[in-house]
Amino acid sequence: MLKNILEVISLSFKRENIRNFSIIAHIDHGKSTLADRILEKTSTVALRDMEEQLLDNMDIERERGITIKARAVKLNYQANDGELYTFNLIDTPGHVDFNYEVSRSLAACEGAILVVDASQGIEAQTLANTYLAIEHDLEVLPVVNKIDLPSADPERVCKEVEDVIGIPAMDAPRISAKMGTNIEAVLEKIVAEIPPPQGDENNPLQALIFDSYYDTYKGVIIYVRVKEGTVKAGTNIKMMSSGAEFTVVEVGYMGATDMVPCGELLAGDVGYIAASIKSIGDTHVGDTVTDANNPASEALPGYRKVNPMVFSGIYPADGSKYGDLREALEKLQLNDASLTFEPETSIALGFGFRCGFLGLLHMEIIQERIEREYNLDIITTAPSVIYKITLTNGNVVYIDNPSNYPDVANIQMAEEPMVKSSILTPTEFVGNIMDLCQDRRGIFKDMKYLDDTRAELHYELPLNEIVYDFFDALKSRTRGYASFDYEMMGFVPSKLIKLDILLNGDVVDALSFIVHQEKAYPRARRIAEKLKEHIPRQLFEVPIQAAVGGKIIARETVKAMRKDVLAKCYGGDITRKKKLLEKQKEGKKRMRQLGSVEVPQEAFMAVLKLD
Amino acid sequence: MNPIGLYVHVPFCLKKCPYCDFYSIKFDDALAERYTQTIITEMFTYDHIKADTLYFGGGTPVLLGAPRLKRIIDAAKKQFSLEGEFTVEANPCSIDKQTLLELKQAGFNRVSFGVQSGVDKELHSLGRAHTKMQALEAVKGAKEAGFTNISVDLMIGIPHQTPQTLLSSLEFIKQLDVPHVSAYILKIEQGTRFYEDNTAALCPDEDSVCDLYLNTIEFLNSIGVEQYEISNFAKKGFESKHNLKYWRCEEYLGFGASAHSYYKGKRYLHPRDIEGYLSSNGNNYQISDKQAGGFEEYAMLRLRLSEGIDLSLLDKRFCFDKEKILRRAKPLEQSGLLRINGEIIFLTPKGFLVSNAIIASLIS
Repeated sequence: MLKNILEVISLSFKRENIRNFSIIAHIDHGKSTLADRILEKTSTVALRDMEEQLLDNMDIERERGITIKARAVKLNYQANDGELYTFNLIDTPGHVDFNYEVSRSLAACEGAILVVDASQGIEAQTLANTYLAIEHDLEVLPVVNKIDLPSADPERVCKEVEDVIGIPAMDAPRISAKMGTNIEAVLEKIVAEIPPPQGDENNPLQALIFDSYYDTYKGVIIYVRVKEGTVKAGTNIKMMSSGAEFTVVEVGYMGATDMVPCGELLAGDVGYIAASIKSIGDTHVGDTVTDANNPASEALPGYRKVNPMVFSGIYPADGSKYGDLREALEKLQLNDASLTFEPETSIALGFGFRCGFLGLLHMEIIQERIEREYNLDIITTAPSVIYKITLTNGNVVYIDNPSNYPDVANIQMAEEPMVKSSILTPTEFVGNIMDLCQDRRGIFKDMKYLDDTRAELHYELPLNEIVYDFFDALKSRTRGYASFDYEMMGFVPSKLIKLDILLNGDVVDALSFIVHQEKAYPRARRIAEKLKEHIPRQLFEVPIQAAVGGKIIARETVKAMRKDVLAKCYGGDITRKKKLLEKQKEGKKRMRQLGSVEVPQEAFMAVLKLD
Repeated sequence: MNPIGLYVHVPFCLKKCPYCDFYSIKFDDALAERYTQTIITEMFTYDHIKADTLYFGGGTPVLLGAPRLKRIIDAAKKQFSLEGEFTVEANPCSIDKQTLLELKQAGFNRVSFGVQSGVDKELHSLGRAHTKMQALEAVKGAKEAGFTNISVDLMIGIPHQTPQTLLSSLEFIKQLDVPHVSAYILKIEQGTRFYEDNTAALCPDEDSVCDLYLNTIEFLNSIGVEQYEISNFAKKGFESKHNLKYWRCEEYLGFGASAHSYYKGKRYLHPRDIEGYLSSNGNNYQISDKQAGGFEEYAMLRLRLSEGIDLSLLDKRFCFDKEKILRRAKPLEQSGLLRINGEIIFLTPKGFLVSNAIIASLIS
């Protein structure tokens, strides 16, 4: 069976029969299910090998029902016109944190399938990615999914697509990926409407890197879309932005379950390159691979280095596990060049790492993977964004750790990152959202009604205000109906101050954070309250204070413990007494000793969720 | 070798008190006889070591009757060259002057009464069968029988107790004029009726209990019955020699079901099972700790005593970080929870209330 397919694929190798496309969809709108159905229909995967949602190959992705990293798969399809077609399905990350990766994946395609839920319609994130696809001149094919749901209203949704995005949608295939209904219509549309790739295999090599991962045996594997030229084993390749050069060991394409080596990749192809690359740092997504001996005159457009936007300290709960934590981060970084980390020390938490992430979800995923895949208990500090500080001496410094924030006296100007955000919501929640954005120092830009029931709002928001709990707050104010998307805008001057938390009179560096002047008081109060809830009574009274400069602006007190259990030693039975002592000692292990105060690990987490 | 202590557990009661979680079963005369014989048998399995205290606890030891108690005392004297402190626990209601006289003649020189409260309403809610009057009579009877070393128990934090009712109880104890008082804070254990009935709801709250405890210490100290352990108070020279062995980490042997021993570096116990005890002829030990008597245990027990722990005496005996302990003790001294006198550390009354937390923070 496999042999047949291989023959078929090699036979079908005509550029005009290649279709490179992505699927754009909101979380839960059925992207992965549709991908599975396509795989099934093109018999790329034997049915018995089908695992639900094959493309999402990380546990966390599967559990959250979202795709974190792009992947690609090569399929072949016998169309109604009798021709055999090669489909390269390039999966895109479904979350705003990975916007840049999405844009690179789209740049590797000529078309995109826009999956819209037949009952829910377009969401903010789908819209953003669709605009991105249109920007890249992709042919967008709308598909209405979940028509099997009783609440499905395909007509309304198609009209919405036409009104909002401005592309024809009335003849969009109505499908149910779950039930396998009408999948052929999608495949035929792909053949008919997505243009074949352009390019000339005799030109100098230009291949776009849209993803990479680390393989223990082969080193870094890069996923590329060849735009011009040819690449094969033995080609000396050069990364045009980093300048790094390698000799190709193997090229091939991605089957649904494993990698299939092939002789060469030509202009128009999507595949992988293995070249004994040791570090993922040499293979930036968006970079152009060229032939070192016959280089292209210029790189493909659109490359930029992705910089982490959200930072937090990660510390091992057990200080002796510092080495293990380092190893975990190193391994994660092998597959994720956007994760950055460097050692830092905290008076409160000891030795740990300052880690940089693309966004909040990225941060959560990394934290979760450290705990799950590497079995480490970690303490994370409140996320911080990066601040641009112009000092009075004219120097500019970037601060990603609140404890390094300069003294006010030395600051000439402080700037914070802003984002352009778009929120799609049922109209009934518009008021709530406006209140929320107002509260988060949002600047209202505009609002338009997509139809009678839905509105799109645009706000400029400080990133600082969304890294804490904006998503949660948005969900709770809109019963989960609103969707949110943002992109970075740059730095704007802001009245920022550093808020310190003191326990028993000592500053706890791990709890310091930067906040806008106007928000200092309420946030200080809230944090003090939260800490009070989470710090157990100790042998002495523990004042919790929040201070700006030397000025205390909020205070709570954890009263001293007055009594513990006085077990009797009746008849010489000291076992209970000993058990109590053991319990007490055990409890201490889960605590962090901050000066004289014992703070449970949960307290550090609690201050992250203040809403 | 220092003389050891002997403890005999007598698990018989006429009726179980609703707060009690010690091992006890309904009294049965035939069982009591077999039990007595087994205690004596068990004593004879030991070497001839010297003992200087014998303590009968329960249950209600007096239910065995003076003759059986005497047989056990005589066996102990013979086996352990016993002389010194002979204590028996007694209920104010199940004892008359005649019995007290017999106990005195049997060899007891110390009696400990479960008075618990000087307020009849409280005694009733504790499920006690005696009244304040009977308690008075019992103590009077003991004195007339020739006992000078008398102890009474007092309970703190019991249902409906207020500072006023506690004061009444303390005034009553003052009136009894006894040289030793044990004052325990009620702890409602799982499996007791108080636990089932959620009696905790009727008891004073934690803050009030702390105040009651501190009031008790102050009152007893003021009448010369001074605190020498978390829950124990005595006039000079009347401290319980037997109980001091527990807290000073000295050796003792426990006889009878549910009795605990600490001997030759091991802690062991008889299970709470009279049948098992009888059928094995007292040979059903379980080791609970093979390496007992370490520093943590020593410190934990020793800090229960008002005299505290003298670190300078322990250098040779234990391996521990003296400086670290003293360093950790410093802030606790500032909070008024303990005092440091050279290398002696001792807890204050306020400190006794949080002794677990203090001990844990000093030694862990």
